[in-house]
Amino acid sequence: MGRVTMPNFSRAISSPEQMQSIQTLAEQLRGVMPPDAVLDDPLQLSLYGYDGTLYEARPNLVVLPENTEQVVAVARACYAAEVPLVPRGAATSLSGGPVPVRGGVVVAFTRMDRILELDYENQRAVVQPGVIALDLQETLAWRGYFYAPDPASQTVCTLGGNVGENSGGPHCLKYGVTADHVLGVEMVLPDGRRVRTGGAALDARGYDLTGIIVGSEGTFGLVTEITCRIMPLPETVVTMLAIFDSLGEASQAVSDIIADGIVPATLEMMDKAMIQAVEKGLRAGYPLDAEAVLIIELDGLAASMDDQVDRVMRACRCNDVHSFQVADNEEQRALLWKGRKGAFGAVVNIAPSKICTDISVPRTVLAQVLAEVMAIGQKWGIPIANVFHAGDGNLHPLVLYDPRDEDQARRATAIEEEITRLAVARGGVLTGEHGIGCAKRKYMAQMFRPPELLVMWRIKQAFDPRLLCNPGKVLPDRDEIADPEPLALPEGSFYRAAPEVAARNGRGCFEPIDPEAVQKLLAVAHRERQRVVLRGAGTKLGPVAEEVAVIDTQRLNRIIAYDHENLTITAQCGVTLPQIDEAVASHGQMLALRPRFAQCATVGGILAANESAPHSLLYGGPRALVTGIEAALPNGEVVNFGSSCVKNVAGYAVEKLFVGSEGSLGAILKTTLRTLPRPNALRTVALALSDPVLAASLLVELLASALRPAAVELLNPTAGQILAEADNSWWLLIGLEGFTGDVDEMSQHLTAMGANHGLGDWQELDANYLALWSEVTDLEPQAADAPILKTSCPLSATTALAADLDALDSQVALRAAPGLGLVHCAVTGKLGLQDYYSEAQGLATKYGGTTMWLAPTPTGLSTSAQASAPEICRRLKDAFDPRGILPEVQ
Amino acid sequence: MRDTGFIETELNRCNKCGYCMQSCPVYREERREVAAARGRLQVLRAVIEGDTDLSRETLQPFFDCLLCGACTVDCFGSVLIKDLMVRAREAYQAEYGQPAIQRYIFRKLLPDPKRLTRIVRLAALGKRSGLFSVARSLGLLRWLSPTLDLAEGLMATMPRTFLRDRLPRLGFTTPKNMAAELFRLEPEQATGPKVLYFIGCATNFQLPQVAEAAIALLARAGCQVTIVPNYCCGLPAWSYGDINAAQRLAELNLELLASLEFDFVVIECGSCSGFLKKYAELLPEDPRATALVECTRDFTELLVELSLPRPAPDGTTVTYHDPCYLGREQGVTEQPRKLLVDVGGFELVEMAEANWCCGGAGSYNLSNPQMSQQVLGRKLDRIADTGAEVVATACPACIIQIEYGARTRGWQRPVRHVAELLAERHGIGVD
Repeated sequence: MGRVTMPNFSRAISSPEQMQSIQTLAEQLRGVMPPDAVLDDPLQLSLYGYDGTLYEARPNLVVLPENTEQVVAVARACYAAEVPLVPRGAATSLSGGPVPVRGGVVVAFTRMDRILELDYENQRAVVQPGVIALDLQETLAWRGYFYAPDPASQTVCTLGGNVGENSGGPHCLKYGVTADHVLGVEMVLPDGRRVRTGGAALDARGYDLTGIIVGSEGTFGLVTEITCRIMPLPETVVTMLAIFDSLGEASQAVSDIIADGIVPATLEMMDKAMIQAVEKGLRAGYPLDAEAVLIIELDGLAASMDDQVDRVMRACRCNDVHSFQVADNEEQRALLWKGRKGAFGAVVNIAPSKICTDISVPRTVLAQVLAEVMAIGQKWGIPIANVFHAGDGNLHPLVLYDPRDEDQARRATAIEEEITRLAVARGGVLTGEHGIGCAKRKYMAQMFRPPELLVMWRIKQAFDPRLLCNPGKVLPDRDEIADPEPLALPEGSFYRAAPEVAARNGRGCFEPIDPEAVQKLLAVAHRERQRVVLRGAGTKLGPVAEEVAVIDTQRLNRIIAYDHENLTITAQCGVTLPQIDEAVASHGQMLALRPRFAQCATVGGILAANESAPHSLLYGGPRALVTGIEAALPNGEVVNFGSSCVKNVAGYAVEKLFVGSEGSLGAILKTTLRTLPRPNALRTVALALSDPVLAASLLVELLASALRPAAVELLNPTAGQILAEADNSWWLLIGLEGFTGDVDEMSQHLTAMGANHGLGDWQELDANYLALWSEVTDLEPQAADAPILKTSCPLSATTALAADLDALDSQVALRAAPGLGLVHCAVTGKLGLQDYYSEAQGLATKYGGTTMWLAPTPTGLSTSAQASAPEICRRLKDAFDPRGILPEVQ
Repeated sequence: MRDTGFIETELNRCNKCGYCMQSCPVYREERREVAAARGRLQVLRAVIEGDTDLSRETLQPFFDCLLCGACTVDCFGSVLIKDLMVRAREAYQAEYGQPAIQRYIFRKLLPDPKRLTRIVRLAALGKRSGLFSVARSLGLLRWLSPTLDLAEGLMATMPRTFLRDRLPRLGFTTPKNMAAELFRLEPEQATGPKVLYFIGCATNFQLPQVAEAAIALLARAGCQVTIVPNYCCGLPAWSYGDINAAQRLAELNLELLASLEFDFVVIECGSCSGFLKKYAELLPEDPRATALVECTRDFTELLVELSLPRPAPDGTTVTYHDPCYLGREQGVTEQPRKLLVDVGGFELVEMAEANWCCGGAGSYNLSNPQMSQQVLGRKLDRIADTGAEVVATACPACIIQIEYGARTRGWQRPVRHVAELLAERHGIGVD
C-alpha cells in the first residue's frame, strides 16, 4: 500500500524531554477523560494518523471527548504543554486535513455525536461536531426538512468535518456550500476559552467569524457545537439522465440549460473512462460507448416542473443527446444516481489506486480545461477518469495509477501538480471542496501572493497565537513566505503627499481614479498614522470628524467582467446596482441584491455594510452572493481573496471577513458577485390584518411549507401608508418570484392558507414590483432620514415582537420579516431615540433577540449589542490595521 | 501466516476512504477507529508488515468483528473484509495455538455427529435443563462466554427432544434398500422437486420446530424430503479461523451427499445455506463443491417457487429481519417477504435497517456479550418503531438472539421463523 511519509515529520515531537512531557500530559488527561478515551498505545495511535489520502503520520496521543468540558480540559492541558492539537471527525478527508503531520494530540470527535436541538419553527438545528451528516439528514427528513450540503461521503463524514472543510456536494449548485448553511458555532480556542460566533440573524454585528471559521480546516480551534440552517424539503424532485456521444455536446447542453434560466439542483457529469469503470463494477446501465453521462436534477414546486423538464430535454436534444431518461419514481431515481454515487470507488475496478484531484474553474472554461487535463494525462502516460460537478465548474480528475510502482507514483504526482497549476492559470482555484490540508499546501503560492498568505497567517494567529492548532496545514510555513515589495510613495506628511496621488473633490474628499491611487493613499496614511475613512455614495456614512481624511471611491466605477455563462460579474467598488442591472439585463440575468438605497448605493458600500433586505429570504444576504474580493489593506498592499468560482475552499475565506467589515479592515477595490437568471414572474400579494398576531399561525405554516416566497414582510399601519390600498390595518406583504406556474401555484396556496386561518382575501398589488419593494425596504417616505433600528430575534418570535414594538409607539414605521427574524423600525416620534432604543432593547431581550442601529448610527448614540467573540474581533482588526488608521466597527 | 498473498492483495485494495464505517454495527456503537473495518485492516497491515507485536491485545480487533459483511457492501472495492478477519483469526491460532476446547469441538465432535448427539443427549438427560447445562458440563461456556447469566438467558428455550429423534413421528420412514440412517417423507402428490433436507446444528438441538414446519410445508407443496445424518456445515469452525476444520467438514458432507439423488439441497437456516454456497470457494479444487453450490437453496428461496394456497389477509402485522448470511451473502431478501405476504397473508411493516446485524452472529453473543447486547439494542429499537405484532426472520441464530432481547424488554410479540408462521397459518400441525 502506498504511503507518503510527511517531509516535515522531523519537526514533530521526538526529543526525550518532549516524550516525557507527552507522558505527563497523558496522565493529566486520564484524570479528566473517561477511562477508555485517552489512547497512547502505538498501534492505536497509528489508527488516528491517516485519512482518505496516502498521507500518514503518528500522533502522540488520541483523545475521544464526549462533551465540551472535556475538550476544554484537553485544550488547556495542551496549551500549557505547548503540544499541537489536531481535530478529527470521520477522517474521510481527501486533503490530509486530520493527519497529525507535526504530531501532538488528535482530538477525535466521533463520540460527540448528539443532535442537541431541532427547532423546526426557527429552521435551525444545533448539533455536536461528531454527528454523521446523513444521521442529521434522516432525522430531518421525518419532519419534511433537510440540511442542504450533501458531500458524497455524507453516509460517514461528520458535520464537524464538514465545517472544517466547508464541504460542498452535488446539490450546492443551487443551495450553496456548508458556509451558506452554518449560522454559528461554539469553538474552544487553543487556550481553552470557549467562544460563540454567529447566531440566529443573518447579518449579526461584527466580523463574520462563522464565515471564516467554516473552511479553516481546524487550524483556529476546536468546534464543539454547530448551529445549522434547515429548510423544508422541496415539493418535487425530478432526476434525469442524459447520455451524449461527446463531452463537448454534454458541456454545451449544460450551458444551454443554464442560459435558459433554469437552476438545477445538480448537474453531474462523467466521462468515458469513468463510465467504463462504473459499468465494470456497479452496472448502472450506462452504454459503454457513451462519451459523457449527465445527471440533471431539478427540484422545487410541481407547477413549473413539467415545463422545466421539457426545456432541459430540449437543450439536450439540441445537442444531439444519445438517450434521455426521466426517473418516474424513487427506485428509478436511485438507479440513475447509483453510478454517480459509486463513481469514486468504482475506479478500483480499473486501477489499484487513484489520486482524487479537486479543482474548480469558471464554468465557461470547463470543456477547455477538461481537454487540457486529458492531454496532461496522455503526456505522462497515465489514464485519467473524470467525474465532475458540471454546473459549478468543480472537477475531480481521478489519476489512476499503481502506488506500488514508484515510477507511476512519481508521474501521478506530477500530473496532480500540473492539473492544479492549470486550474489557477485558467482563473480557477486549487481546490473546490476537498480542502488544502497538507496535500495542497505546497501549491498555495501558485494561487496566493505573499501579502495574501501573510494576511491568512495573521488571521490564524488572531485565533491561535501559539500555532498549536492543526499545524502544518493550509498555509506554507511563515518563513517560506517572502516579504512583499515596498510601494514607491510620495514623501512628506499625509496632506502633503496625498494630493500627489488623488485630487480632492468639492466635498473635500480624496477621490482616487484608479485602484492604485487607493492603495497609495492608504499606504501614505498608514505611514503617517493618518486616520482615514472610506466612502461610497455616503448613504451609510455619518458625520466625519474633521481630523479624519475621507477617501471617496465612487470613481472606481467600472464593470471589469461579466461572465454570463458562469453567472458572475466582477465590478469595481464604486459601481452602482443600476449599472449592474443594465449590464446583466442583456442575458436575462439579475443580481439578487436589493438593499436600502438601491438606486445610489455602491457595491463596495453595500458589501461593507452587509445589510440583509426583504429578498434575502430567498436569495441570501450580500455575504451569500460574494465569491471574491480584491481589497487594499491599510498598509497599501493589494490582496485578492476568493475567485469567480462558486466553489472554492483554497485557503481561508478572507473575502467573508470584508463583507460586513464596515470599512474597518481595508478598502474593497472590486468584487465578484453571483448573478442569477431573472424570474419570469414577479408578484406581490397582500393581506390586511387588524392585528399582526392573527397572521402568526399562517406564517408558521407558510415558512414550514415547500413554497419559497422571495420576501415576507409585515408592515405596521404607519409603514403601510406606502401602499395605495392603505387603511389603518397591518399589512402582510409577500413577494413571489419565479416561473409563472410556480408563482400561480404559490398564490393559490396562499389563498387556501388564508381561508384556512380565517383571514381575509389576498390582494394582488398592481404597483411596480421592484419599486414597491424598494419603498418597503427603505421604509419610505415616512422614514426619510429617520434612523433605522434593527432588532433580530428567533423567527417564531418576530410577529409578537413587531406587535410589542408597535405598541411602544405606533407612529414609528416598522417592518418585520418573520422568515428572517428581523424587525426594522424607522424611529421618529414621541419617544427620544435613546429611550426608544432602550425600550426596544428590553423587548428584544424578552424574546431572546438583540438590537442595533443601522449605519449611520445616530449622532451621540451607540449600539450596545456585543459582537460575538470581541477579543478575536479586536485581534483581527489589529492584524489588518495595526496602526488603527481605519474606523472601528460600530 | 499462510497465503499472505490473498491478504496483501485485499489489503491493498483498501484506499482508506472510510465508507465502511457507515453500517458497521460495532463501529456505530464504539465510535473508535479500531472498531471499523478501515481500522481493523490497518491493524492487519501493521501485523503483516511487522510494525506491531502479535500480542493477544493487538489481535483482539479481529475477534470483535461480527462478520456480518455490511462493510463490504459499502466498500467501493468490495474488499473481502470478513474473509480477511477469518484469515487473521487463523493466523492468531497459528501463533498461540487453538484453544483445546475449540479443537475438540471443531475437529472431533462436529465431524462425528453420532458422538456429538450422544454427548449432548447424555448431558441433557442428566441435567434436564437443556443445552446450557450441557454446554456448561462440557466446559463450553468458559470458552464461549464470561457472562454465564447471559448465556443461560440465551439458552432458555430448549426442546426436550432433538429433531432427529422426532423424524419417525413426522412420518419419515427408511425406504427399502437404503441405509438405516436415511429418512424419507413422500408427499401425497409428488408434484414438487426432490429435496435433500440439510439439518443444521442449532435447528437440531435448539429449534427443531422450525425445521419441522419447513419440512411440512415442503411436503404440502409436493416435495419428496430426504434427510441424512449430515455434518455441521462448517461455518462455526470457519468463523473461529479453523479453516482446515471447515474444509474437512465440507468434504465429509460432499462425500455423504455424493451417492444420493436429489434436485436441491435445502435448509431453513440462512447461515448454513449461506455457508454451503461458499463451499466452492472453500474447496476450489473439488468439482463436487461447485455442483453442490449450484443445487443449494435456502428454504425461502425454494418455497417461493412452489405453489401453496394463498390465505386471505387477516391484518396481522409482521416485520422481517434479514439474517446477514441470507440477505447480504445470498441476496435472498425478497423471497421471505413475498412468502409472508402471499403465503402467510400477513401485512408486512418494514423496519428501518432491516439488514442490520442483530448481534447474534453465531456465538458472538457469547464471546462478546456486551457489544452483542448493544448491537441488539439498536435492532430492538428499530423493531419497536414498526409496532408490528410479530417479528419474522429466517435463521435460528437470529431467532435466539432477538427472542432473548424480546424477553428482556418484556415484549409479547413472538419472534418466529418464516416457516413457522406459514405452517401455522396453513394449519399444518406440528406437535
